[in-house]
Amino acid sequence: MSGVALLDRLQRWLVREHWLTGAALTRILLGTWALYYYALHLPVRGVLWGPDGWWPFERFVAARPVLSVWAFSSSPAYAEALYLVGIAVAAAYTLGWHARLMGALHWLAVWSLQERNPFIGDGGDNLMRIVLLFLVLVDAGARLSVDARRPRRVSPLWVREVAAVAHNVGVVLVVAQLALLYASTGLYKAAGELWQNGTALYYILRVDEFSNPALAATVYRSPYLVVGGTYGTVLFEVMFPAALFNPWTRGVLIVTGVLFHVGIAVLMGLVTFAWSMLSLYPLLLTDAQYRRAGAWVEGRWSLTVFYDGWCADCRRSIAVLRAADLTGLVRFVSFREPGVAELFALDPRRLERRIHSVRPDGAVREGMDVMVQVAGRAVLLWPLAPLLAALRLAAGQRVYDLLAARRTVLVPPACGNVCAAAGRRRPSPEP
Amino acid sequence: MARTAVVWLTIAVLGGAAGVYLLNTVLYLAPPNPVKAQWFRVVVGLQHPLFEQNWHLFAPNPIRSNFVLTVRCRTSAGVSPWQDATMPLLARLHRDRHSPAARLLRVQQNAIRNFLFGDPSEWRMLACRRDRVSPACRRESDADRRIRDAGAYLLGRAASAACDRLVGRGRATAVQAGILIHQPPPWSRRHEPDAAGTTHLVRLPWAPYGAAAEGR
Repeated sequence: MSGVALLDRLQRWLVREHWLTGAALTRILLGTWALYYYALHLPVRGVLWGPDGWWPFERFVAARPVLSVWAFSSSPAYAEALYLVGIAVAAAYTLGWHARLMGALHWLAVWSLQERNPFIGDGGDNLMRIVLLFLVLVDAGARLSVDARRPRRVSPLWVREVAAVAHNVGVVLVVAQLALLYASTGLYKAAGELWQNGTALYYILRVDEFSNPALAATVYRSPYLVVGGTYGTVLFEVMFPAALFNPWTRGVLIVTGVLFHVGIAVLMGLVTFAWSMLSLYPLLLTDAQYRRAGAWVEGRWSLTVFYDGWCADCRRSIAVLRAADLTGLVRFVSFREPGVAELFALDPRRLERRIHSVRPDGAVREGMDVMVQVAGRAVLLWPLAPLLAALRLAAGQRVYDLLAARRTVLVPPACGNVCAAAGRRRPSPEP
Repeated sequence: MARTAVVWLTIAVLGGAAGVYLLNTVLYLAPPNPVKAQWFRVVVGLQHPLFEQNWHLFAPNPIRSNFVLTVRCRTSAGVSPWQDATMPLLARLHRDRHSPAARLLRVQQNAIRNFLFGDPSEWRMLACRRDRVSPACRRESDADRRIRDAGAYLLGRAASAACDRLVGRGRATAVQAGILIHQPPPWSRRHEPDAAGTTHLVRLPWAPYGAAAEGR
């Protein structure tokens, strides 16, 4: 291929946004990291960052912090307000509301907080504040966000293309930064005596600050686990950059990396470190891979639910369920729409008594079972799913039928002859 | 064609900037070497402060000691016995990994490490290997002094907070911190308990009591 054609291909590739789903997942993971961090330290915020804390305001200002909004005032009320604004910004960023603006503000908040107390950080915090800055270039709100649900203002083509180039460069910077981190620490480790003789993990796990007392002794007494863990760590870290370039080895990296960091979180107790590192892993998969994974999940887990469109309470409940189903796995259809019952070969009288669902494999469920199915699929209802399942096991369909039987059904005026007999009535529960 | 020109300009500027950043980061992260030495000011100037980073993470040699902060307090009634100010945080952390004790402990431990080791820069260590009497090696550089001072100050704060719990808030007049450095047994004696390791104590001078905000 000639040089011109190559440049042309490069340009055409760069003006389209890649890795949009990964960027959205990274945004959500980093945002929830911050929410967790803020909530966890709410009771000790005064000690860690307050004007009279361990590192008081005068010391903080005397050390000449770079660009910290905490330096503007020594008032305790200002510190409290900053903390609350930080939480609000992190929440907006997580939800993807004005994602790019909130991303920039979130970077400023995280940066300022880290500057306020420079003794609190670890490698994960260091990585986070660098990539949050790169993520300002990235269109992290295009998927799985509030922004994605609102109509987008259509900008001129050249603006979109410039934004797409910035987005792609931003993603490359984040992944390259991650690769440099692994390569750097891996090469430094390879030069260390204890990493060479295979006992580094033993010495780390005997330090109380970095060990889980329930597991550490079992691991550090085993020569196989210690040597395997020590060499495995160095090997994984050194290989990371090179292995990124092939889809298969990248898959191996993702699996190994997740196990590695989850292992560190459990064995060494470094929870936030594991979280911040793994937050960048979604960017290692392409949009096409997410699409294929999504199609697979949909083929297996999508659900069509038939509800009573003539019942105002039902419609309101369905609206709530639909909003909670962030991934859109569940399709809600009113069985009162003409032709629906026939199309899905369902009995209209049974449909009147209980809500029904049909899975892709054709399996039909009703009543409480549908509630459990929907809760399992709608992300925001996951916390309720075990409760509903327990209720189903304990009480069967009784609770559902009790509620369904009390509903009021209003026949729309345009109903005509088809449902003249209806009017206002209470369907009786199934015998 | 204006559109294509704008797009190409963006690609050139952003791509160029990203390329420079990545190349610079490679040099910045590399161990001391001749190229880095020649471009040192540029490399550090581009990287600091926004992109400052350190990925040693237990390398080249992992941390292998427990540092325990011990505290005693002087009151009008006399001097209290030494008390362990690390164990309560550690116990809380081991009980619950999702507890703020993780970061409270980290501040304390980083303060100890800053106080004991000062500037961890590898240039200092390199300078030290070449010239044992250079100011950097004798720990007289500004950076080194700043880091140790900050560590000592934080230890005083932590000791004051511990004295609030030990003898009552505001009752201490002076505090003294000590650092117990405990090295667990080596690999060859891995079945032995922690107590089989070696321990020595570094005492800080008495410092005036300074109340900090309530935290728990």
